[in-house]
Amino acid sequence: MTEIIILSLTGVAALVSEFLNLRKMLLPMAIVAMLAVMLLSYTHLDTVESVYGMAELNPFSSKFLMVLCGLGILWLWGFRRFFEDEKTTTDYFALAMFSFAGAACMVSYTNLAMLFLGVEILSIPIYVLAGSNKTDVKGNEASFKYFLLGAFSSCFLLLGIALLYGATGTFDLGEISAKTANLTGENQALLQVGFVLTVAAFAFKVAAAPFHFWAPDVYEGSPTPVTAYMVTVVKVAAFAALLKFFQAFQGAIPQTVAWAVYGLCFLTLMFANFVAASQKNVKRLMAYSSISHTGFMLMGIFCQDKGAENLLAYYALVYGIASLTAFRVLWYLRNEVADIQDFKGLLHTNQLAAVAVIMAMLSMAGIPPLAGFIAKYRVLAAASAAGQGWLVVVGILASLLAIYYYFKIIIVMFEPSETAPDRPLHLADKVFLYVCCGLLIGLTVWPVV
Amino acid sequence: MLLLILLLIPLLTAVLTYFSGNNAKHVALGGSLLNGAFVLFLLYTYNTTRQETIYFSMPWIPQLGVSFSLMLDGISLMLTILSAIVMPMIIYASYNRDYPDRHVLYALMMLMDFAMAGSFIAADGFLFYIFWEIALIPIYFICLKWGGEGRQRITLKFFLYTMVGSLFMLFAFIYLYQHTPDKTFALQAMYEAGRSLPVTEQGLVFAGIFLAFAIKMPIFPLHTWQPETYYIAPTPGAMLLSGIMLKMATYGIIRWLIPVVPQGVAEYGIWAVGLSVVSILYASFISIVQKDYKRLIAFASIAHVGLISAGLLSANVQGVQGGLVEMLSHGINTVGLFFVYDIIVTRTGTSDMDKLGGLRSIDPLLGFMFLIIVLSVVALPFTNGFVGEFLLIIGLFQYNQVLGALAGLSIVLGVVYMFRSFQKMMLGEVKDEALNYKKQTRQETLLLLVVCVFIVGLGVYPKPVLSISEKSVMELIQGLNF
Repeated sequence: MTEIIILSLTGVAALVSEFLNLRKMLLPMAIVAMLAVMLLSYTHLDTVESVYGMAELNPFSSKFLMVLCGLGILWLWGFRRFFEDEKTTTDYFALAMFSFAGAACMVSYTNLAMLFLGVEILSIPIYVLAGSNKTDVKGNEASFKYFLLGAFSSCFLLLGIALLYGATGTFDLGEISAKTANLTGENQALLQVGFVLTVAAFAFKVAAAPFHFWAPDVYEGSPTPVTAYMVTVVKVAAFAALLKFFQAFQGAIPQTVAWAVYGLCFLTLMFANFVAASQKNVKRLMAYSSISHTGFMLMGIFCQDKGAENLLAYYALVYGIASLTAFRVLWYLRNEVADIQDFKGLLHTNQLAAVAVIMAMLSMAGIPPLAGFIAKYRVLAAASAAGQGWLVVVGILASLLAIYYYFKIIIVMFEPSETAPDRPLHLADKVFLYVCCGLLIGLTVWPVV
Repeated sequence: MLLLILLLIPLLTAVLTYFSGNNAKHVALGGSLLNGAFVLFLLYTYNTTRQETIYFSMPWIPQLGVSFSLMLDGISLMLTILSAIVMPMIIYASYNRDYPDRHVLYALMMLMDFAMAGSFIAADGFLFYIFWEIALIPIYFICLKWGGEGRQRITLKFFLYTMVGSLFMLFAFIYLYQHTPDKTFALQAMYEAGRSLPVTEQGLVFAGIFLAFAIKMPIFPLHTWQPETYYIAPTPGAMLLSGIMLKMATYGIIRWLIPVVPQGVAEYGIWAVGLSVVSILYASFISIVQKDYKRLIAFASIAHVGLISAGLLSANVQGVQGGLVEMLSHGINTVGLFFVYDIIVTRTGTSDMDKLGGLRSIDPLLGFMFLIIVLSVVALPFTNGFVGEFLLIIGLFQYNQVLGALAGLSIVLGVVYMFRSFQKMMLGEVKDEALNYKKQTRQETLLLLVVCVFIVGLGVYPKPVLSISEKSVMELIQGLNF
């Protein structure tokens, strides 16, 4: 309860800080709030607290709150210049913090109504932030596209929830889970359709193929910090919610539906990687890379039976850190449109940034000793344990394809550069990159979850 | 604890080297020599404790069944000695060459040393895989940054190629892991899991793991990355690749393939041995028609490693012992061959053998030392090459006489291509490219001398080396229960 209140209050504080003149205080305040939530969640790691039957703060939600807050702090720290503009700082902060509160609802829901609220609270501020660069056509396109398709997927979610309600007579996830086994006839069919529709809505939010078509355009058009937020916080929250949903239906998913989910993994992995290999724009490339990671996470949470939340939390953390690092450097190079050639010679002009990108790419490609390897390994091991050997092979092929495009960026950085970007990184940004690199190695040496 | 130090020395040296700027080469050489001294100490300890295996273990990721376990027996010790001898030589070989950002180069080299040392002593499948992969990263960047023409494409091909194999090995390891009773990657548990599988499944696991090793060594037809990569790699990179790195694969055959799926090897090993023999013949014939000396070394390396692989997979004491000695010899010889390349190419700017000639008349010492190396490569008695190849061919002959005889051809063919390169570069008339040829420096002489001393020393009196691994190999072969 306290966690959600703290996050919401930070958003409210951002709104009122306009006339209380607290603008400068917002960043430290937000970071402190997230740290507080992180600490609180740590103390709640083995307690269960129900919030009016709508949500529950339990080990599951606490783990994901910690991951989300960790990523949130890194995001605020790395992209703090996004909030620098005096005119918009309070608006942006309020939107970001409310969206974050939505994420907190999504990881802790036990009632499908709460899930819907969480999804909307998370998404609506992002629709706005995606278009925050008002003069940019692509930004407007991104915002509008995201909004339209997001609204469309919300309909799917609502319909799914309605059908589940029709089948079981309740919104409560625990009760639905208890009733799944004894359903017969029409109710059974309703339940299955409801399940599929809800999963489709989730697949939209996490950008799994074939529900991913919005992602490359939106990721490309939105301001880089917002994209970074979308590929980390939004995706992690959606995945945590999806996992919770899956867990409620454990054992009740008929084989045909399970094959649909496997098909989703397969399509996502293959499609994303094949298309990514031919991208020239780094933001689009990262978008497809992010879709490919969606495939891996989906495979992990669907195949792992026990402890899937640990697997997902670890994967999400590692993937989030690597993404934030890559997007931070991307933002440093160029504020918006970024061709692969912008990375040319980075190793000679800014070694730290280049090394950080190399580490991020190696981690995302899943190459030891970076933490991305352990994350991918856990997914592949889970799939293998579930007897889905073919998915392991698909995962391996996807990893190989991924190496190809991640290394394209690395190779370009090694080429001699013609122009030297003279903007040195701020000390805080240097520390940010050091911390991210340290975490990417450190999470291998000491895999926390 | 001793084994942890063995890993920490190169790792810390790598860090120190990176921060030591212009003194990087001294630091790296010092570190690698210190490592050599420590390995000598380990050898002494090992021999005085009646060749007891040294263990080290601590938990790492218990929920995944992964522990940080290290183990040093005679087999691992041989490989550790190899890298302890070869590493200082590689560093010293690049001592007077002008590489930009050398602190990074040496740091990467030491990092690679760390990873290779780790893969030689890892006693946990997961850990072995991690070290196996870590070794790939520095060499990739060495080739990408300091490599020659076309390096972007070639290094990427190299990386992807090796990753394909590695991932299938990982898949096989995961499969084995799931068949261990208490879900662990520990070496012994993996052995038991592998042996409990039915023969056909053992064959599949065998195929998966062998694919990784076959690519790394490489074996025909998976060798296409190798000549190009050796060709564009800077000399220290090429030395690392063929001197030590490919031994990770041959070592892997002994530790992570034969004992894991002995029945699979017994049943399907003939295919792998056959491929290895094809590889020997194929690479030897290609070597004969090479015009470029560096490519010739690359193909010669395929031929030799094919013989090692065939001998090891025959899974008898002679084959495995021969393989181990040959790994050591090949590492030393290969550094010698690449160093001769480096000496010639820095002076003449070409390694095209048609453009070279008569170098012996300008620099007789180089000619003499090169001859010794050549003789060792063609396995003349009283050189180190003879000991290994002789045992390997005996081992292979016991396994299958036809294949043994075919593999024996490698020596004859080796004579053809090695002597041909010697004739073309060292004898005959002095060509234009070599007109201003300067004699080798004292540093270069010293290094070649060390190579020659090892060649003759090991060739004349190989017993101390053979006795290092003898006990472990016997135990290994007896444990297979064919």
